Amino acid sequence: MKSSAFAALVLVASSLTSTSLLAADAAQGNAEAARNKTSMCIGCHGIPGYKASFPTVYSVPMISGQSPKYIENALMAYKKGERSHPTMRGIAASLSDQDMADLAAYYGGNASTAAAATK
Amino acid sequence: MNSSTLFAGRLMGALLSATAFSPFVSAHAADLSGAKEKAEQVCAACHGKEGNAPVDPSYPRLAGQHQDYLRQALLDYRSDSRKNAIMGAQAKALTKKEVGDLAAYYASMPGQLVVRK
Repeated sequence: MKSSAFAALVLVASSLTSTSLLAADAAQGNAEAARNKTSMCIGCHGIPGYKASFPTVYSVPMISGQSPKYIENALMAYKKGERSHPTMRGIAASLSDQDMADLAAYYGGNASTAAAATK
Repeated sequence: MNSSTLFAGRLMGALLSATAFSPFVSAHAADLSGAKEKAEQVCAACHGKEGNAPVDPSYPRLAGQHQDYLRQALLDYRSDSRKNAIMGAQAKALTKKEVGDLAAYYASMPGQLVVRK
């Protein structure tokens, strides 16, 4: 109860500000909720050795085990155009702040939590 | 196709896959000890020891990440096609050789990054 009251407070506080950074902080990631949102990710990030071929050829980054907040910020940056990869821009544009937080919680974390989450 | 052309083909394929997509990295042998020094002096302040312990959750782990991805990220920061105030400044201070060396160094560090569906 206390935590939901706090979440509500945070939501109110963030709605009073116009910065997306604060709004992003309000979205609590739920790894379970991400399970039906990963279909867009696995075609590239789920294939060992996969390389993106456009516009430049290089390996797609490993995202599992990455810092969750970094993942969320990266998706945000694609959506805002601060990162330019066309495929990722298209995908990020389709994601809500909550989707991004959920995906960050799903893929991010440390090795032990990632291993536990795959069960 | 006889066995020697088959072998040559495979060798060619192996060489190509190792080098074709990272022309800069292949242009010189990576200077891992130089990169280690640079990494400890500069990068570790945020990304932690060996790129494994970022001091803030918004900073990425680098250890074990794909070499060509790390290189591309630094080059993108360098050219401002990837916009980040901190990394833009850091990457612009690096030569292309240092970018390649640092990418090789961090890719060679053991880390927790994995491919997962």
